[in-house]
Amino acid sequence: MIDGIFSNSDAEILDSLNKVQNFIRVFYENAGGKKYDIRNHGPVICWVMAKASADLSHLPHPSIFKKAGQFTLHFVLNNPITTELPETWYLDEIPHLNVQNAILAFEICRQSFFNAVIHGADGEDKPLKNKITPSQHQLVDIIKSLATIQPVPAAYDTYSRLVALIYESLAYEFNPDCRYKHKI
Amino acid sequence: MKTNVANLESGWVEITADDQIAVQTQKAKATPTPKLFTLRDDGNNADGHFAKLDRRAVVMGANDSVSFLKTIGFVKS
Repeated sequence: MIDGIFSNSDAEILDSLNKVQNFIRVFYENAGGKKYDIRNHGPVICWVMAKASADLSHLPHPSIFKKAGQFTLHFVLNNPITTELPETWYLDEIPHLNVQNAILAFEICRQSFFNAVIHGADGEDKPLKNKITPSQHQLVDIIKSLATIQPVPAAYDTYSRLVALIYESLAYEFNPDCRYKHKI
Repeated sequence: MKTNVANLESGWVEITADDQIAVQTQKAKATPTPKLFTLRDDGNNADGHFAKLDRRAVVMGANDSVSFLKTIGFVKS
């Protein structure tokens, strides 16, 4: 879903935008709350995609985790989704707007990792066949952390690297045969 | 397994994993037999290419996300 955002092809970028929008629409339908209004949120999601892509343009072949780190960072910084989820979805002491955007950013990436191909150092391509399934306490900590990221431009690179590392660690936890071989 | 015929120009077709889809594209209309794709459970076609049909996988993913968040107790009951 997010891979096409970083493509050089207009068709692939547009396809990714459609997929992200569709994911959010169906997510809201299943969550049982208000209807997601694509007209209000679409332009900001385009901005999020453009910023994420631009910030990785210096890398010729960024990993899916680096892409996800950038996408997540700009998603939670720009808070494109203003439609509220039902009350039971919110965490204490965090503004609603930040929570729903952190949840959607994380879930869009989590779903994008499923069957994404990792290009191993040994030249072998390995798909992530198992979905990441964090525990409840892991997810609460992740969502709280994402929802409270502060807009400090000097720290954006650090933020995106840390988020990418969390994604990578989780992906390898559930797909241990895709992990790079460590030299101890 | 069931076989559906989808004209991509017309948009969506309801499918499930392992359904066979006969995709009749504008180009294929000139040929008597539409090309057959068999979708894997990730919504991609059997050749491993991302087909336009993988929009269905996006819907399945969003359904899975909500179920997952409720199952692990992230959403208060």
